[in-house]
Amino acid sequence: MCEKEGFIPRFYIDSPNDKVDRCLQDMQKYTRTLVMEEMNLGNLIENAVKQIQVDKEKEALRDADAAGDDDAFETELFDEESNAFLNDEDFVQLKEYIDEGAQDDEEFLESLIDDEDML
Amino acid sequence: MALADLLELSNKQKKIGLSEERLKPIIPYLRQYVAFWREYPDLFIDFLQTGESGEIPEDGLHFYFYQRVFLRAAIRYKYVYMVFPRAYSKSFLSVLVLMIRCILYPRAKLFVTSGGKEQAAGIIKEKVDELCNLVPALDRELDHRPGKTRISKDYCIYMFKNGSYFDNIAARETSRGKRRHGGLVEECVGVDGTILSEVIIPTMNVARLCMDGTMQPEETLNKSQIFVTTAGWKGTFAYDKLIQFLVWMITEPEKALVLGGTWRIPVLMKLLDRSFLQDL
Repeated sequence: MCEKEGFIPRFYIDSPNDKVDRCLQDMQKYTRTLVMEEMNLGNLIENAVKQIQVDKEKEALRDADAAGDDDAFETELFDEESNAFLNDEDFVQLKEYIDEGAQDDEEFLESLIDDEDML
Repeated sequence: MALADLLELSNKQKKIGLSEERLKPIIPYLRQYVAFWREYPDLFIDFLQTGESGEIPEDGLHFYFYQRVFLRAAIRYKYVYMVFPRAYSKSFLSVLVLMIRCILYPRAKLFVTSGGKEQAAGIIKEKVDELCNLVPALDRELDHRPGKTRISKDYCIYMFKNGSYFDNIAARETSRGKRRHGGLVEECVGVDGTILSEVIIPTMNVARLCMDGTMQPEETLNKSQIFVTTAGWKGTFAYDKLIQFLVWMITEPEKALVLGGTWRIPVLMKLLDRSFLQDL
């Protein structure tokens, strides 16, 4: 009944409210210091990081599967922006390129005529 | 007993109806309470037990300090790994966490898994019975209508009146394709790592549908994993998982937590007999 009015946001704890909270905070800080300052955990952590990476990739794959191939196909089908092969910018760029080419040709032709005159 | 005493007694036991009209004006306050209890589950249980006197009954559930730490840790973080010895009340508290989550998050679907299906069912049944005896308010949240809460030898499902439920699922191929929002892996040291990562964890790839029709994937409940075990061996899947959570605890401190405890605490709290240890 409460949640029907809208999502209930998380209760924000900016600082420990009692000794239990303080204890949790202390344990987290202690573990962090322990791991960060311990020199011999390098290999262990490296392997764990690799494993996390592998797990994340797997999870992403699973999420994609869960979304469904049909959904992906439908999204792609109706995504007009990415489906448009050429847009206005492309035409402007092409026009500029052609104009530049024409200008270069003219300059080259003029230089050839000048050379012939010299001879 | 005088008539005045009798009248007072009857007044005390007078039932007050809980209609929608009565609840609607206090919904904004209830929302604040729910948000608060989602972070302070121990205080929620205290609240359920205190009556007009404001005191927890003698035969109620009185938490020890370390149990409060356990409860808050298990409910606030998405990924929790806990290694504790026998008699630490770890299964009891973990099942309590699931029940609290089911009550405070409507439509939540949670699971418990263990080495064997019967083992998980046994643990759940025993702990839920114990909890319902200690805190009758928890029992009143369960839906006991026919076809809802079902208990059998190797399978049990506890359904709540708000549409949430938790059950035990087997750490086997047959569990592939099921959908849950979070869960508890009991005695994870005895669970097959491949099955866990290929069958059990993928069951949690959907987010809870809130009562307002939205989905909040970042909600703590979604994909929440609680691993609880007694100490195991190095070089096993459970050990790798522990290290993985430990790294997360450092890199993403708001998401993961690893906790451990020694036999000294249950002995200190008289949950474990000193002579039992000496006989080992």
